[in-house]
Amino acid sequence: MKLITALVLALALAPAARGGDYSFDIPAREEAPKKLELSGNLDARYSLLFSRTSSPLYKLQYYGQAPASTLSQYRADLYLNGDYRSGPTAFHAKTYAQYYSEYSNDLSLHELYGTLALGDSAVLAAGKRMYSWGKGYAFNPVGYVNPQKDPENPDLAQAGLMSFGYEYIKSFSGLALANAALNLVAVPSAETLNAQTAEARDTDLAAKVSLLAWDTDIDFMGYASRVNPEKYGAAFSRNLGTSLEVHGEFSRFSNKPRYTVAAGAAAAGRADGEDWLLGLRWLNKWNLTSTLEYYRNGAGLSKSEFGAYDDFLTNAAVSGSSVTAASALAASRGYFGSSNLMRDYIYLKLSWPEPFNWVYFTPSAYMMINSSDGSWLGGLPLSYKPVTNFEFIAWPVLTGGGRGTEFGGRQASGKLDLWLRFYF
Amino acid sequence: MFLALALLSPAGAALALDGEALLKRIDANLMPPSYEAYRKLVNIEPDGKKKEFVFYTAKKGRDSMAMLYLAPASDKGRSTLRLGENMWLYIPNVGRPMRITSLQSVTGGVFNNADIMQVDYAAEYSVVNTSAAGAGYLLELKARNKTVAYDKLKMWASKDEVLEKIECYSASGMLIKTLEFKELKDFGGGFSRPSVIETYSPLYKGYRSLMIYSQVKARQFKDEVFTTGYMSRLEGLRK
Repeated sequence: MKLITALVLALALAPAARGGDYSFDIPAREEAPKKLELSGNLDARYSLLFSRTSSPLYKLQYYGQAPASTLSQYRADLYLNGDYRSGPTAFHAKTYAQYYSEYSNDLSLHELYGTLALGDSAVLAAGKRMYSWGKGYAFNPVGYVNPQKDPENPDLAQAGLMSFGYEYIKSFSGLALANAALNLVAVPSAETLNAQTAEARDTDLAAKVSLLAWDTDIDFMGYASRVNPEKYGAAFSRNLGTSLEVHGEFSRFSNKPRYTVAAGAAAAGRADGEDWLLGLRWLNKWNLTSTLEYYRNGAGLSKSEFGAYDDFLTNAAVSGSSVTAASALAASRGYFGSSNLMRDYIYLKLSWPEPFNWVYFTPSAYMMINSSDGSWLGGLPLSYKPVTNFEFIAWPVLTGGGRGTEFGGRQASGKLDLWLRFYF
Repeated sequence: MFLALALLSPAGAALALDGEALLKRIDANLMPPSYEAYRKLVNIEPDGKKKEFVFYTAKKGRDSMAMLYLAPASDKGRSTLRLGENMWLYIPNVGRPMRITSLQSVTGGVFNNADIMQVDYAAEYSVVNTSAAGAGYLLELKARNKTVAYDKLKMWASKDEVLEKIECYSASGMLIKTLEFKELKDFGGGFSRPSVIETYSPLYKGYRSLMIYSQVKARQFKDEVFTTGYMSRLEGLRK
């Protein structure tokens, strides 16, 4: 940090360039990069939630209560990162602290891992680390070791995975294959005997081979496990010209846990199937970037299965029993907590930096449509960065689709987030 | 007599010149074959407000470049990679490289990705025509394929074969932007080049962007540095 501060100060205070109208110059660096660097951001976030009081989830969440239909939340999020480098070794920590009040706050480690570079071609990593496999923007069917992605905010920092990793890279010259990389990840079992100890034979293994061939990114990956679903798949990404990119992912899974509602209760099952995604990103002549993706969630609920789930929540909400209500809410969170419960989704995001010469302002709009039941979720993030290292975000979100639909049944019909973000 | 004068003039020299060879020499005068550099990019709005970025850059061969954002803090740790016409952006929070296109601009302003990660012009363009212009040369270049950011370039170079100005045109012949190369500076080791590139565009009236070079130094890198797997580790290259 100090180096950057010194560099930026030096830049600002540098004498005028020779003879020109440039009032800055970049001097030679006066010191080597610091071994330890701290960085991060502080978000102060105020939210207004507009409740959908007819939603069974709302009724279960506030069972026996009658709050006002508009709720508010105020919190501070601190993302503090530390990076230490010394020769071939490095250490990285990413912490996340959430503060609502003295009585409600939390500190968690998103990442905490060390790396050992074995030359420029190979690196070993050990600890808690976030992986990001796949080429999709909002969804990653092949993200076997990824954290759960929030399609509403895919760029959000997420918690990593306790693992041991090895990566090897090899470049080739004069071939259609420009380079190749092998990633191996060993994941100790999350199923512990006493919250600390797991059976060694339950360690999972994930592998990914990444190729740059014929100007196309091509990945092949697999996940092997005794206890978790086994998966294998592929992903690709390629530029088709100066302003168009296409990408896709395909994954085949077996023995994946799948929850439905049968006879008025949550029922666990297993399924084999495929997930896939096709997408494109296009920059038009007005500098508007469009990202369009189609996502097939192979183990998702069918329309009738979702109807049974909705009936289950509705019945619990009118049961008159707080125990039944609490049990249904727990089942909803535990087994149906995914942000995409059903099978087919269309996602479109438009982003337009500095429209009409309004500098530092970037409006975006996104829409996620559940094509099975026609419900939708739309957001309009508006980012304004008038000062270096400061950002103001206004982010309204609306959901719709009618009763008994996935997004139309959410407990909030709308939300407005106002963020002040300070980078350091 | 007239023929002799013509041959002695830059125009005559140009006639005798191999345009492709001249373009390669202009490239060589602009950058060592493999180097590291620190650069500052300044976007200047019509009211004089500035937005600034500082990058560490590593380049190898004709078409491999990696770039690490050092400032501001909101962008620190991001990196971009170019291999030929393939470009990627790595954002630490996202944790993986994403393909970007040459006409996008990761920094905003008049410079697009292709300008910021400019590789050898000879790698992207072929010479259509070479002629005299004042005391130097005018080269007319045509993109080698459709993935190159600009379809045509007009390039002015001094008689010392140092770049002075480039006009970038679309396939329809529309002027997209102008790049001016200024402030010749000795970077040591017998290497001099323009230290400032200024760009402006009729599409962004009143806006201009500057790229200011500092510490351009010849350095050899392994090919593996220019791969997507290495993008999160670029900081380790800085000494």
